[in-house]
Amino acid sequence: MTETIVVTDRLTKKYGDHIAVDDVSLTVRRGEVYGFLGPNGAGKTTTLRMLLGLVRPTRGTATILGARPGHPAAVARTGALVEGPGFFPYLSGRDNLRVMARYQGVTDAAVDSALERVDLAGRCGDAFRSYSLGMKQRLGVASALLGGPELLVLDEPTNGLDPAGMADMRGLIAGLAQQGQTVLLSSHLLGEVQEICDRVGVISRGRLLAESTVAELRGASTVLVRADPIDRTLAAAMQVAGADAVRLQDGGVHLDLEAGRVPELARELVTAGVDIHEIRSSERSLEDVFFEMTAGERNGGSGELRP
Amino acid sequence: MRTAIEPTGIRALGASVRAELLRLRKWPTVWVLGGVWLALNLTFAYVFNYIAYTTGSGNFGTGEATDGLLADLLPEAIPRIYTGGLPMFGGAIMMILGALAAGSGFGWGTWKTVLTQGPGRLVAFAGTLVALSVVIVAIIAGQLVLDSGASALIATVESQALVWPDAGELAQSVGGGLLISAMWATAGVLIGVLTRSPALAVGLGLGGRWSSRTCCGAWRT
Repeated sequence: MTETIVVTDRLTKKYGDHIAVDDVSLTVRRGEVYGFLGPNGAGKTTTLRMLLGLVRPTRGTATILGARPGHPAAVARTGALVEGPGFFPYLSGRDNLRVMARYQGVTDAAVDSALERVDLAGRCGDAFRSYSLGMKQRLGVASALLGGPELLVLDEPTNGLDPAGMADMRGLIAGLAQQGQTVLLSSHLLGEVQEICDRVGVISRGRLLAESTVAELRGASTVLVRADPIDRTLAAAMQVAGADAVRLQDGGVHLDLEAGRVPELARELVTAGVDIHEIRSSERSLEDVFFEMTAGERNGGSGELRP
Repeated sequence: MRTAIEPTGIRALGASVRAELLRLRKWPTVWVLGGVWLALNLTFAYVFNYIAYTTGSGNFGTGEATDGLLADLLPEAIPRIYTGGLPMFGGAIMMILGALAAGSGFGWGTWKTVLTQGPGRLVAFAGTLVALSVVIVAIIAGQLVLDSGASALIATVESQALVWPDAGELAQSVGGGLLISAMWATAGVLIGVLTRSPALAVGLGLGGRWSSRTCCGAWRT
């Protein structure tokens, strides 16, 4: 499962003086859901368009499924939904997919199975223009799924959806991932990426700030202890977590410790005879990590937080 | 599993043409434009002139005397009058058809969707042109059937002998009609693609034809 199917090497795109994508090097492995995370205008869509061969990079290279972007071998094995679904408004959902199926040279049976997979079979006879935004997005995913591509590229698949539509789309992607589908999706919604992605790449102002698993990005969970007296509290904490993992900060003792070891810590503190006021474990959300990174960017710092 | 169609090969072009034909065939706009052209052709070439003939008021467009009118309405005259309406209305309608077929895809985002399905830009564009040619052939053929029917009906009603035109002459006229239509449709496609919208070509089709008609009318009087 460690085969990489997307590799970019210092991919760069300039529009005049504006650098939309700057030296982005990322990898997507087979079978994973890779989240491409960043605020609007960070360069996510431009990067995806370069990977699909819709835009030529100014500099750098990309390899998709062993071929250069836009090469027939890569395009035929990639399904994509970029910048919202674009379909013929007067055709039904099913006829729209039949048109796309003809372009690909796949049968109408593939159309019906794609419609089933996105749960749109019941409304596939209605005109595309009568669809809700969520249904249009699902049809976009169905079009991307046509012919069983090895890589699915989804650009902001939940953009503009209501909470129910978002949950539907997340469920759909999670379901596809369970079937072993490799998915590369972009999003500006951190919670979404946190829930369904195996690995994430964080991009801001065209630069890839970090690339790793969600867990690694969030870092180890920390435990805060407030207890008296402080010296005996520190000693007990160090005994459980190790001397390097304990810091005294704002009158509280912070430990880098898994949440599962909190009871052990509590026992040690009680045995040491300290008065415990508070023990709390806190996990950083991806949002905290993200703002930490982009704050460095905004302040002109390097922002390099590559774990 | 997807079959990797070489995006520049003849198979890819065939796939593009089949895809484009499907979506043009199911597009009400295509049927409306084709229908409008057939109705205009029937009205101006046969209905009005037949009324003029029966009421003795001269040719609808040219004010020609009624004597020559009946001859123009008979099957033998089809090659002569077949392309008559094309510069006036047919061209405008074909230009609008071409512009809508190629230009609308930019606003709808369908070109982008199509290009992610595999065909190269050139093949996708060529597919649209070939499919559009098929539509034009169908419209021109429909016009031939309609004109033949109308002139045969008039010949029967007016107790004239049913003399069909010379095949070579007819083929030349129909071929000319095809070329004129294809030229206008291609112009519409080009403007639609260059401006990435059908608006300019539709405007030119409507406005240009209307003004030329007004000029022609003024020139005639």
